[in-house]
Amino acid sequence: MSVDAKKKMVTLTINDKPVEVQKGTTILEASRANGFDIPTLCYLKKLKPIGSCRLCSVELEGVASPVMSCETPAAQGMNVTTDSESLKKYRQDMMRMILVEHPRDCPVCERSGECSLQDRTFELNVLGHKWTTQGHTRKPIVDWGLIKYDQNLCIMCERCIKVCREVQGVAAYKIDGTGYKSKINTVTGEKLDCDFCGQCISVCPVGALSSGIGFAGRAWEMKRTATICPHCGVGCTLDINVKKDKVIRVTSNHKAGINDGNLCARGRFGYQFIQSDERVTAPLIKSDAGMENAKWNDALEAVAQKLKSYKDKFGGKAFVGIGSERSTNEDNYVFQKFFREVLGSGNLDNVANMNNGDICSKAFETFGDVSLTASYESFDSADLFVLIGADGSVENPVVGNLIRRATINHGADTAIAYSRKAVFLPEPKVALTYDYKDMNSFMLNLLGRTIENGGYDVDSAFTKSVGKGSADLAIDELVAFTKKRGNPIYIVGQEAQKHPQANAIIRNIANLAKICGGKVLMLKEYCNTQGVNDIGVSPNVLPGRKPEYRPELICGSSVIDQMKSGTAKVLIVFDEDVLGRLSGSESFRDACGNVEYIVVVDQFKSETAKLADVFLASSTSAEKDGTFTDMEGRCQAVFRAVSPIGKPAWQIFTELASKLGKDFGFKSVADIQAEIAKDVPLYSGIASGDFLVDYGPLLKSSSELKLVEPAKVEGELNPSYDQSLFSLGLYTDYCPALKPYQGGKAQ
Amino acid sequence: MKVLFSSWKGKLVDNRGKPEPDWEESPNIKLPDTFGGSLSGFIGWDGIILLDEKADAVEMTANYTASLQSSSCGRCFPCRVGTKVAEDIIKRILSGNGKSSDLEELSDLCDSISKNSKCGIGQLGTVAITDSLKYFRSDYEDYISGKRKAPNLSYPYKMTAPCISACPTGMDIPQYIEYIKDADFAGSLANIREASPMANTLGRACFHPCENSCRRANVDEPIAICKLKRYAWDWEDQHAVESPKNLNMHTRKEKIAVVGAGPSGLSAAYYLALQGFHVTVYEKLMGPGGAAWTGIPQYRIPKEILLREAEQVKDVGVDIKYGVEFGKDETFKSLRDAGYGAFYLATGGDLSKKARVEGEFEGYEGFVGGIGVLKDVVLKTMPNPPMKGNELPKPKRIFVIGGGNTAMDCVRTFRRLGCEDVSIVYRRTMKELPADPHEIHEAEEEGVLFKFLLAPTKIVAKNNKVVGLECQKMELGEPDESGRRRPQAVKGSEHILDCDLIISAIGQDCDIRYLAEEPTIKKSDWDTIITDEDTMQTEVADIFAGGDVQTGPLTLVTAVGQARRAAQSIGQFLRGEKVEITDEQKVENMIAKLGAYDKNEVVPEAGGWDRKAMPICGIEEKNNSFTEVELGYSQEDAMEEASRCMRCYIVGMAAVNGGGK
Ligand SMILES: Cc1cc2nc3c(=O)[nH]c(=O)nc-3n(C[C@H](O)[C@H](O)[C@H](O)COP(=O)(O)OP(=O)(O)OC[C@H]3O[C@@H](n4cnc5c(N)ncnc54)[C@H](O)[C@@H]3O)c2cc1C
Ligand code: SF4
Ligand code: SF4
Ligand code: SF4
Ligand code: FES
Repeated sequence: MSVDAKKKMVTLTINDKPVEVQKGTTILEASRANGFDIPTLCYLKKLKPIGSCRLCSVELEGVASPVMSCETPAAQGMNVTTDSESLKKYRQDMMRMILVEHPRDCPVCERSGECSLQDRTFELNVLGHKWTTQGHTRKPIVDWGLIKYDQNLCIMCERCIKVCREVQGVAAYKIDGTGYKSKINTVTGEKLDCDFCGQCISVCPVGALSSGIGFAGRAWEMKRTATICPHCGVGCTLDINVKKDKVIRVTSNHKAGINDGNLCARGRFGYQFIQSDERVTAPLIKSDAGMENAKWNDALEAVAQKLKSYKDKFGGKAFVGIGSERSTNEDNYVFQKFFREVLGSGNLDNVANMNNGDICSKAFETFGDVSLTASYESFDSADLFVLIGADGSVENPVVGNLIRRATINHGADTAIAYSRKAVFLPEPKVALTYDYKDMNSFMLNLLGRTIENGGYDVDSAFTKSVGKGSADLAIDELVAFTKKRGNPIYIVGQEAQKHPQANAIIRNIANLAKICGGKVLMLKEYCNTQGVNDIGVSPNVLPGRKPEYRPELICGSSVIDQMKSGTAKVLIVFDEDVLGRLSGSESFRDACGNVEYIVVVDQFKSETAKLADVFLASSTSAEKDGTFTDMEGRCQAVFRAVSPIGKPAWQIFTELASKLGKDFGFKSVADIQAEIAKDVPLYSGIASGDFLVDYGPLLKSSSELKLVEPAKVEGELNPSYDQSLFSLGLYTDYCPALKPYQGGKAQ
Repeated sequence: MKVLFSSWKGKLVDNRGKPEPDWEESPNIKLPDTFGGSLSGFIGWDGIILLDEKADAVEMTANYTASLQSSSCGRCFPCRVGTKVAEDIIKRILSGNGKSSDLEELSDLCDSISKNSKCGIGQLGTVAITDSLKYFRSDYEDYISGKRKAPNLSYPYKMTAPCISACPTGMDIPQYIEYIKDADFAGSLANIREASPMANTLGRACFHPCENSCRRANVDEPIAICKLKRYAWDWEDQHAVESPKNLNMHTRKEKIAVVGAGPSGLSAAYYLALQGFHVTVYEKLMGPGGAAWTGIPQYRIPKEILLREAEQVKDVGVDIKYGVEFGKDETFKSLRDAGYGAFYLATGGDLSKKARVEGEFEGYEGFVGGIGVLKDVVLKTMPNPPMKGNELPKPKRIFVIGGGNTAMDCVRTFRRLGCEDVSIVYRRTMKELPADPHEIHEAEEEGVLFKFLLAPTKIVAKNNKVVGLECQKMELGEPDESGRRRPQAVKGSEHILDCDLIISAIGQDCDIRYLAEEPTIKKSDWDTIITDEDTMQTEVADIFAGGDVQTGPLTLVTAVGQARRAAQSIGQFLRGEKVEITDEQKVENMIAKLGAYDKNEVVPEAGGWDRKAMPICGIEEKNNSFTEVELGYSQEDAMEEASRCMRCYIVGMAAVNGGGK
C-alpha cells in the first residue's frame, strides 16, 4: 500500500534492451511499453491477469520453462526473450489445442471478422491440425435472457467470468465440470438471472457469447458509430452498429470513453427505441378529428403564426418552455436562444431543476466551494466510496463499475446508506439504512457522530449547532471506518436529490465531505441533466450559468406558477415527458389546463404529448450530432449514426425563428458550437468533442460549514423509484428487449 | 526400498529381467503399502514406479493420463485440451488401435503441455507419461502390434499439492488461494470451510506446516498461506454478508455427544451437523474455543472474533452445553441412556506439566502454571468474559520456565501487563528453543530477556511467598538421539535469582480420568487416548477421540484435521457402514509418506516476487495493550500475495492388483 513501495523501480533486460519499469509491472506490460509485442488472447487490460490461453509465453534466463508474461511481474535483473523458435512453436501449439475443439463455423458466426481467435490463428500462422479429439456437439443456450451462449464456440478463456465478477460485481458465471468437459455455466446452474449488462459479450474474444436479441450480421457488414449513451448521466461511450441504415446492435470498445467499454443493460440492449415503429415521423396538428399528420412547412408555419399572435398581444411573459435532459447541449442552446431572443421570454426550465433548483441550476451558489462533480479520474485515488441515497448499481450502473475498478485495483472500500437494502455488489464494508422520512436527521446524526468521534478539527460554533448525535452502531462504524480509510468520495443518489428536504440533506453531505476531506459526486438521472442546466435552460440563468439580469425577462416565479396564474398562455415542451417525470405532476397537468396553446417537440406520444396542440417530431441523439455533458462535467460529442426520423430540435427552433423573422444563421451543429464557444466561456471547448467543464470559477470561495433549515414535511413520505437497471424514462418504454425485466428481474 | 522399476525424481532404477534378490535399491523412495499388500505400482508427478510384474506401465500411464484430464480444472488451454488428446491417444494404443506415429506425437504433445500449462497437473503430470514412453517403449509397441493385453488393475488416485499434503486437514490450499486472487473471498472461505470451520483460529494462530512445504520457497519465498486464510475470514466478518446455511440440518435422527468445545470438538461437531446428525457438545468451561480461547492470548486471537467463529458452528445446528464436566456431570452411561449413539472425545490437555523443581507442590504464592495463568489473563483482557478468572499476580520480576510456545505466550503476556522484568529460563541455548521462531522474535522485540543454559532446581520462598529461583548452570555436551546437544549441569554452580513470580510452562498433560468407565480403551504412557490413526476410532466402537487428547499437546491444525476424519468415521459408524478410510485417502497417506514436497527441486518459475509483509501494530501498542499484533492484509496485498501461488497440483495414483486388501 505504501506509496514508496509502489514507486520502486526494477531494471531488467528485454531482448537485450535494458529497461526500467515500476515494480509490479508485468513482463507483458514492460515488453509492450518498450515496443516488443507478445501475442495474447485471454489478457485484457481492464481485468486482472487470467493466464488461460498461454500464448504470452516468454523465456527467462535461468528458468527452464517459458513463463507467462501477462501474469508474471518484472523482477530486478531478469533477462527476458519475447520471441524464439521454441516460443513460436509453443504458441502455435496452444492455438492448435484450441482449434482441436473449436468448430469451423466462421461463415455463420457473428464475430467472424472481429474474432481474436481468427486473428491469432492468422498472425501465428497456425496451419494444419496435428491433433484431434471428439468435437463438442452441445446445444447453444438460448434461454439466458439477453445473453446467448454457444458452448461449442467457447474457448474457455474465462474473460466472461472475470468481467462479471471484477467489473460488474455480479459473479454470475463459473466453470462447470473439469477437463475437456468443462464449460461456462451460471453459478446457480439455473437460467441466467443477472444485470444483463452484456459486459461478458463485449469481452468474449470469439462468438460464444452474443446478444440474445438475435443474430445481427457479420462484422464487415456493419458501420459503427462511436457515440454517447442516450440514457443516463454517466456518459458512457458506445458503438451503434448499423447495417443498411438500421440500428442492429450496440457494442462497446474497452479502449474508448470513460467507461472502459462497460455498459449497462439500458445502454447495450436499449437501442430499439431509436427506430421503433412507434416513433412519430411527421408533425401532428390537433383537429376535431384528433391529431392529424401535417407537412413540416405547414406545421411550422402554423406554430409561428400562433406564437407571433401571442407575442404581439402579451409579450414575452406569455411563453414558458421546458427543455430537455436527454437532448444535446446544442439543441438546448438553440431552444433557450429561441425563447430569449425571439419570444423575449426567460421563462425556461427543465424537470431536474423543477424538482430542485438549488441542486441543479443554483448548485454552485448554494453549495459554496463544494464541487458537486468529483471527476471519475479521482475515483482511482479514492479509498472509500460513501453512497448516500444511492444504490450505486441501479440508477447509474456504470458508476458502479467505476467504483468496482477502484475496489479491485487498489482495494478501495464501499459504504452505503440507503432507505432499503442496497443490492450493490460486492457487498459493502458498511451498510446502513435510514427511515426515508427522517433522512435529514440521519445525516445530522452522522455529522454529529463524525465530529464527536472522528477527531477532525471542526469549528466550535458549527459543532455546537450540529450537536453530538446519538450513538448508533452502524453510524459509528461508518465514522470509524471513514476515519481509518480517509479520502472518501460521497456519491449522492436520487433518494437524497428528490427528497423534499434535499437542500438540507445535501448541504449536510457537503459539510461531511468538508470535514472528512472528501469529494462529492451528484448522480445525474439523464444523459444531459448536467448540460441542460449549464446551457441556460433554467430561469434566471443564462448559458454558462451566468445570472440573467434582464429585469424584463425575470418573472420571479416558477413555470408552473405562471401557467397556473394565467400569465403564461403558451407552453413549449421539448424532448421531455414532464407528466411522466415531474414530482407532483398532477399539479402540472392542472396547470396545462390553464394554458391556451401547447407545442410538444418529441419522438413519442408521451403523456405530455397527448396534451399538445401541435406535435413536432424531433430526432434522437442517434440521428444527429451534438454534445452531452455527463455528471462529472465532461462534455462529449454524440454523432449521427442513422438517417433522422423527424428533425433535430435545433433545426426546428432555427426554422421557427426564421419564420418569426430572426435568422440564427445555424446551418449545422458546428455553427452552433462556434457560437457557444465564443459566447459561453464555460463551454469554450465544446467543439473538441471531449472536454471536462471547469466549474472552478463558479465555486464560491467561502469554505464555511453551515446547516440549512430543512423544509417542513408532513404525512407519509416514501421514495419513488422511477428507474431500474432496465428502465429510465420514455426511451426504455419503447425497447421491447428490456420489457421483460422492467417489473423487477424476473423473466 | 527395492522395486522392479523406478524413474522417481529422475533417478533411474531398472531391475527388469533380474531375479528379485539381485534387485538394486531405490534409495529415494519410501512407498508404504496402504492397500494391505496389493500395491503393484505408483505413478505420479515425479515419475513411475513398478513394484512387481503385475504392474503394466502402459495401462498405468493410460489411467494416469485420464486422471489428469479429469483433474484438470479447465482453466488453461494446454491442460484442458492437451491432456484430453493425450488420453485419447494412449487409450487408442491400449485398446490395440494405436499407430507407431502415436508415440512421437504423444511425446511432442506432452512437452507442450508440460512447458505451458498453468499448474502442476499439466506441468508435472506429464513427467510420468514422458518417462513411461521413454523406458517402456517396447511395451507400447507390443500394444500397437496387438501382442499385449491390458491386465486391468484398479487405479485409485488422489489430487493434492505439496502444501495440501502437509496440512493435517488436507485443505485445498491452492484453490482457496486462487479464489482470493480472483477476488471471490466468499468462495475462498466456503472452500476453506470444506476442510475446517475454524478459518479464523487457524488463519491467526496456525503454525502452518504447509508453508514449510510450499514449492514457492524454491523460487523465492513461501506463500503466506495462513494469513490468506485469515483474510478470507476477515472479509466475511467485515462485510455485510451472511454465512452459508446448513441445508442438511437435523435430517437424521442419530445423536452424537462431543466432549470438549476446543478446535477439535467444534470441528467434529460442525462436520457431523453437516451430515444431518444431532450434535451436542459438552464443555466444562463457560465458553468455546478450548486452548484457542484460554491459552492463546488476546493479542494473537481476539476473543470477540473467536466467539463469532464458534457461533457459526452453532448456526449449522450444533448445541453446545457449557459448564458440564464429562466424567462428573455426565458419563458414557448417562449419555448412552439418553440415546447418544456415538462419542467424540476432544478434551485436549489442560493440566500444567510438572516442572520437577523442588518446592513446586508447596502451594507457594507466586508459583503458577502457565496454562492456568494465561487463562486468567484472557478472562481479564477479553471484553465480556463468560466466566470469572482468578485475580492476577502483580509481580516485579518474573521467571518463566520453559522454551516452548506456551512459555512465549506467558512472557509476552506479562510484558503487556506492565511487568518490566520478564525472563525465559531455558536449559539450552537460543538455537534449541522449541518455540516458533516468529514468536521468539516477537518476544525479543517486546523486551523479553532470555536466560540460557540455566536449569531451575528449587523454588525459594519466604512466608509462603516466592522470593527467588535457584538455578544450576548448564553446558552443552554430546548430541543426543534427537541431534540436539545434551545440556549437562555444571557441578556446584547453584545460585539464587531473585524474583516474585515463577511460571512453569514446560508443557501440558491430559486429564482423562473419565476413561475409568471404559477400561478397554487403550491409553498411552503419557495419558493420551490411543485410537486407530486413520479412523480415530477407539477400542470401543462408539467412541472416537482426537485432538490434543489423542496426540498429546500439539497444534490447532492437527486437532482440526483429526476431527474431520473422525466426523467421517462417526458418520460411517452411525449409518451402519464399515468404518474405514477411502481408497483415495489411502493414496493420500501414501503420498504424505512418499513426500509431495522436495526442497531440492528446481522449479521453473520466475522468482523475485517477494512475499507480502504482514503489517503489525506499533511497539507502543504491543507493550501496553492486548490489541491484536497482526493487522491483516489489505485486499490489494491479499490479492497480490495470492497471485504468487503456482498451484502446484499433483496427482498420485496407485496401481492396485486384485489380491488381498
Ligand atoms: C498457551 C497455548 C498456546 C498455543 N498456541 C498455539 C498456536 O499458536 N498454534 C497452534 O497451532 N497451537 C497452539 N497451541 C496448541 C493448541 O491450542 C491445541 O493443540 C489445540 O487447542 C488442541 O485442540 P483440542 O480441541 O484438541 O483441545 P483443547 O483446545 O484443549 O480443548 C479441549 C476442551 O475440552 C474441555 N474439556 C476438557 N476436559 C473436559 C471434560 N472432562 N468435560 C468437558 N469438557 C472438557 C476443555 O475445557 C477445552 O475447552 C497452544 C496451546 C497453548 C496452551
Ligand atoms: S464465453 Fe467467451 S469469454 Fe467466456 S470463456 Fe468462453 S470464449 Fe471466453
Ligand atoms: S450480462 Fe453482465 S451481469 Fe450478466 S453475466 Fe454478463 S457480465 Fe455478468
Ligand atoms: S505455491 Fe501454492 S500450490 Fe504451490 S505449494 Fe505453495 S501454496 Fe501450495
Ligand atoms: S495472455 Fe497470458 S495467458 Fe493468455
